[in-house]
Amino acid sequence: MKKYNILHISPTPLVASPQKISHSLNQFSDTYTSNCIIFSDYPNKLNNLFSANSINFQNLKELSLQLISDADIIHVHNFLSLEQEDILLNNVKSSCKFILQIHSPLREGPLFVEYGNESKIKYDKKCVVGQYHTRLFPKYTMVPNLVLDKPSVNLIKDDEIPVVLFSPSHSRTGGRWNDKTAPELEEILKSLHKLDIIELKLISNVKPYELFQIRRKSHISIDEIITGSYHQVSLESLACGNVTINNSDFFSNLTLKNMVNSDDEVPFFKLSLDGCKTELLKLVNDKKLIRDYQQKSFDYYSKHLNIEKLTNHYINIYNEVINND
Amino acid sequence: MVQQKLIKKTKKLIRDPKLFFKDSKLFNKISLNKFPINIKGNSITDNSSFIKPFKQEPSIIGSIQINNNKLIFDYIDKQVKNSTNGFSTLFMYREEKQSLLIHKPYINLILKNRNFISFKDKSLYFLINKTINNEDIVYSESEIYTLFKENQILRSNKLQDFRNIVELNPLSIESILLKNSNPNLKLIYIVDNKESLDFITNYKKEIDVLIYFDKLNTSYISNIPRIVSFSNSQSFINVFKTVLIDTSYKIDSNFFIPVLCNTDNLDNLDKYNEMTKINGLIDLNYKLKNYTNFEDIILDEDTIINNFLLKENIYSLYKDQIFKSKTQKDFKELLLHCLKEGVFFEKI
Repeated sequence: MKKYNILHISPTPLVASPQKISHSLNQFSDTYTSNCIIFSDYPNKLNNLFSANSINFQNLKELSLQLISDADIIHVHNFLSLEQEDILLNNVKSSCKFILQIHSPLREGPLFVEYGNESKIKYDKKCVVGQYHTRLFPKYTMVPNLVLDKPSVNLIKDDEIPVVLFSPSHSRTGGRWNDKTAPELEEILKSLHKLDIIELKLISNVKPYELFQIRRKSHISIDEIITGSYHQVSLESLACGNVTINNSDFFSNLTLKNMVNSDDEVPFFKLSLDGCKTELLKLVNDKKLIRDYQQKSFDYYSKHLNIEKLTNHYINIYNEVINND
Repeated sequence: MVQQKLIKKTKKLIRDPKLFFKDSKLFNKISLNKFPINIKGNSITDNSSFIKPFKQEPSIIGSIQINNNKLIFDYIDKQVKNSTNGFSTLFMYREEKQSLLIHKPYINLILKNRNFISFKDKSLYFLINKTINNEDIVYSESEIYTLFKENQILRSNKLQDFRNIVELNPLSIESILLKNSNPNLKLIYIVDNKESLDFITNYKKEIDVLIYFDKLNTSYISNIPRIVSFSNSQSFINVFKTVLIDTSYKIDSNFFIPVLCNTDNLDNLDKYNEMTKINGLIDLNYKLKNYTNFEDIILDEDTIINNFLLKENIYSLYKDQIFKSKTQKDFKELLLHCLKEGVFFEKI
């Protein structure tokens, strides 16, 4: 029987990450019902792209307040403003528990403050997305990002040109963790495309579902090769049986291995700006190598990143918080 | 002979008194040795007015202040030359009374050493801190975050060409805000009074290097990667130069130095030396135990660091800590610190 209400709340859609947790809880848990509220949507081009299955507080205030007062656990994502904290604190029932989860912030620097220490809300548990962020918040419980769709693989045939998908979400540079793109890499990709060695799909501002379908039809996905982290893109790429190109470092991989509790080698195709041209050429000209990595991606995802298994990370945390009375 | 010399000197004194004092051995001795003790009595300020100002007054890139909980940053956009990118320094000072930079304590010493790479025209810039009487306010992290977020200049990463931010006797948090505008900036504080020392203890984890006057009691200061002292003006300038060399990028010759090494021969070391992004190498044994957090993975007794190397520019920043480290736990703490600071590690 569904006994407890878990309410996910975030200031912005956070590329739908909270909403996915909410969704999979409803699907896989017998104890927890879940909803997801966002305080506001992204502006401009990103408007409506990631908010489809969330309740927008501004549009549905009454319903939102009702959900807040019904909640047994409020799972806060990223940083709330003081006003937003007040809305929660003034409406929750006294037994309500709070969980904080840190996602990737838009800007660097003081965004990495240990916000949880001084917020008016007393958090019962603090979590952090298990990518590069764990080293910045080493005491927080690591939790995975989720991919909802079923895995698939579209192995490249010998007479096919590899389809390479690159979808950087922005082009800012100069940060330590938030860079997504490098001019050198884009140049190489574009010239390979011109020479008909690859078919490059450079895509931005597309709905996540559509992007996922494009990825299913691709053979190679590029995450980013600058910072040493892997991101949601890499997880989706594994799910789509793509060769997953990133520069995920030893500690990002260690975090992933620990979350799935297996020392199996993570099948990322590691690429850095040093020598990326040679490595990339070697890959795109070797169909067998591509197929190899594609299969490894699919296998790794199916074995370790199964959605039900990953959702258990969250269910265990909720059980712990609820039973900690 | 002596008489002739005296006549000559007297003539010079009448003809060009400024030059006379500038060339005087006695004067140079006074101005170089005494100032830290006399810092409040401004004796140096008076003496140094005899020095001819430099043809080109050093570049002041603006002023900064916190007023009514708003950060006001008047920034004059300067093209900081990339040629000394690694050594470029932004020096913040408080303007108590208006005067040329060359007349200010500490700064006059720096300007006298302008042949040093970090103090050359193209690498050294000044910023006036206009905040007054702010030392009693302790800002929380979320207040710092709000101040930062509301300032467009900070958010637009204008200071990305600088490497070091230096502040003399800080009493307010502007330099911390500046440091947070770019992940590569290093924050160096020069402190010669207790008031300022008390102030910075509130923000220890933001500071990369503390340079302090050795008559101060700093025993209660810890957890700053690098702490060094000076006793007089000559030792100040030497220490300051060393610190700047240590914190700066060494682009053309930045090699891996072992922090903890169990092998003589590391394969691929040459290859990694050439990679500019990688500045840490690690080899550790671990057992996966479904740990809940990152720190537990590293600090577990079953996790053993076999090899740990850092590029010279990172190594020199943490060398005090490295020399003090003896146990696996010490090295693990250092590793966690480096990871938090963003050092890019590769497995060797």
